[in-house]
Amino acid sequence: MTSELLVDAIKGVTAAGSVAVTGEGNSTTTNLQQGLCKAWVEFDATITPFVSATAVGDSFNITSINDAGSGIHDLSITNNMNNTGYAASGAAGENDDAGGNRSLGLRAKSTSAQNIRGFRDGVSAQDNQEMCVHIMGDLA
Amino acid sequence: MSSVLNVDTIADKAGTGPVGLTKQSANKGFLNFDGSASTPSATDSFNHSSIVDGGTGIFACGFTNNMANANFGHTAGGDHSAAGINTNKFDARSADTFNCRAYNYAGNPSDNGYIALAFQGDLA
Repeated sequence: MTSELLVDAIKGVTAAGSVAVTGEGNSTTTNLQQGLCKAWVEFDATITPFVSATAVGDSFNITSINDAGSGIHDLSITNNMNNTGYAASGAAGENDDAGGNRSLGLRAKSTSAQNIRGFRDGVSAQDNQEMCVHIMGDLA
Repeated sequence: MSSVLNVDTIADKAGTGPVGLTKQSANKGFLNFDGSASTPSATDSFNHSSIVDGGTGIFACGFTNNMANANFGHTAGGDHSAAGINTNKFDARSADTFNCRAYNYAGNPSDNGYIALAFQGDLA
């Protein structure tokens, strides 16, 4: 019979922010907290005028997004990252048949915000319809 | 009333296998690094051992604990500046190493200043 543990929060005993879980190969362990995506968002940058609450389809640990120019947005992080060395990745897309590649570039970041810029064909800055960003690293 | 479980390690009932996270899965590794450094090394990382610079825009990133196979998923990000935007291409990979190539938006291999990678899949 499988067992199931029902609990609302998990903390480490030795260190509250560190819990090890056994890997799929049944041998090595990996750190649960470090493996979790600390913030993510999907939003539509073409909303005009840009309103964060309307543009965001879904998100986690993201307070709001501002419009800082063509294709340029600042993502505000609700619970700050521990340092600016965190790893962010993303993708951009468009729900039309106009052709051309869309991409997303990462600009200046702080522990509380990540600045991004959308492009079309890797050259022209553009507000893209589908913008997705993931942030991995340590929380403050 | 909310409940809190205080524990250092979580394994399955047998004590040797992984437990399932309801409707979610954790990343098994991530890193970001400055590809323009003379000896690139991770600014921050998880389950990452080293970076081998294989030439302009070419980097081999090793895992501390290997993946179960070479079919793991990944995502990547790069900075952009007045010089251009990164795009990352991925060469042959193995369970212990992920190889990536960075480009500028002119399509040329480039040692870009910010490269971020994250990995999803099963550990060995």
